[in-house]
Amino acid sequence: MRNKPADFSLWLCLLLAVSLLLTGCGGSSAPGNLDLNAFYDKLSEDFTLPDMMELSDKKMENYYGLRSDAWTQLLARLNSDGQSVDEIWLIEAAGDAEAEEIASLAGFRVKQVCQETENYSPEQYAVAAQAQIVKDGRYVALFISPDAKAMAELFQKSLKG
Amino acid sequence: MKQNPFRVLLAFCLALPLLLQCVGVRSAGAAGTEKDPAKPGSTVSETETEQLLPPSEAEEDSGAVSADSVDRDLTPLPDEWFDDALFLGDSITATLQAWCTVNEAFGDAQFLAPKSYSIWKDVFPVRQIAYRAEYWTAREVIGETGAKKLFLMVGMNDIASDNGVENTMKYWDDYLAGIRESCPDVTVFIQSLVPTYKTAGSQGLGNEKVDRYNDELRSFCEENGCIYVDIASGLKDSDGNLVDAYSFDRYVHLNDDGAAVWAEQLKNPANYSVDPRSVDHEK
Repeated sequence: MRNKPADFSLWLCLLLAVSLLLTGCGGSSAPGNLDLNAFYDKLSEDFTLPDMMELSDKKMENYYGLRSDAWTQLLARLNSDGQSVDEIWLIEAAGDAEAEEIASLAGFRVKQVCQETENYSPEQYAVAAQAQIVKDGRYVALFISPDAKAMAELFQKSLKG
Repeated sequence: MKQNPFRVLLAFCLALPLLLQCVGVRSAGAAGTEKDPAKPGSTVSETETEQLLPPSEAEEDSGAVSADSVDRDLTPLPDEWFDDALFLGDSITATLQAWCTVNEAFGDAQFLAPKSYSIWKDVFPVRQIAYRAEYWTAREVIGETGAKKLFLMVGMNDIASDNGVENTMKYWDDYLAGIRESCPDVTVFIQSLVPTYKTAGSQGLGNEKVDRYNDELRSFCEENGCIYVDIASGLKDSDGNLVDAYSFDRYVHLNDDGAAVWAEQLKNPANYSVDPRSVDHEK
């Protein structure tokens, strides 16, 4: 086991994760409706995803504190091997305040994954450290994946129609 | 005055049945006091008592095989039996969580499985468990989940460290005491660690060490009223190592097939040191 280095890397990880969040906070620019299931299908076509399992709304509430009345569309997937960190949340919040709340939960999740993997698996930590959170209007997405950056760009592009 | 021997014998024969009847009535009266029929349920029957005791204690009391091991219903526990269960462990438990999620097994059971989770850190205390966007120790989070059955599989990261088996066992007293103090109504099940891959010994986690730890856990359960669950035996090959086909990383983690066998072991009442269904009878 490695000794834990300074917390600097963890904060760097968080900073990277929220970078897109901050750019997305500029205004409620998200137009119309985005079918999140259809977007996930496109994501599956454009990227090579590992076997992912569905996280039910109940699990999202139990484990991550995502209230069922905070969203109107929810799609959450996690790598099904139980060890790899790949994770995707696609959420349409019930309102702006809820979107802020959900983005905050996503930020906590990234921090958690980074903390757990930092001294455990350098490979998984490298993936977690690239995590991207997008908040655009009422839409929030979390991507923990080697392709997180490209996925986040695709999500923003899809929101703009 | 001289007694007629015939009359004496006749008197004795008449008196004997009366004497025997009196003795019999007194015995029945004593038994009736212990099991007062006017107070049904005021005492626990011997069978019930034995079912709540670990097998060793039950056997000591009866001097024979416990009623529990004879009478136990060996049909697999249904998924819904786990509805009020919380599985708390490290990355090894994360595999079971994933398998159960994909296969919709174990009903509404909850899982908390932070990577590298360790007992000594929890006791220290370090909040390692993320739950609803906050960090918790075990004693803090269990009550939050509402679980009534706690399934622990913890210690792999501890025995792999400098703590080894002996020092890790020293932390168990505080660990369990903290859980019991904050959640007195939760039944504690302690699972054996899974066996490790045959070459894991080179990384400090050979099965000699894991088996020794599991033996200590079994004794700890007997001494502290916890229920030991042997899931290791069903995952071992003939050499006592993790079956090759169940290994995810040729170290300590299981793959899907291994997790399926683990789930089977958990559903098998014979693997529990106490009839798991007796836990429900208590409530």
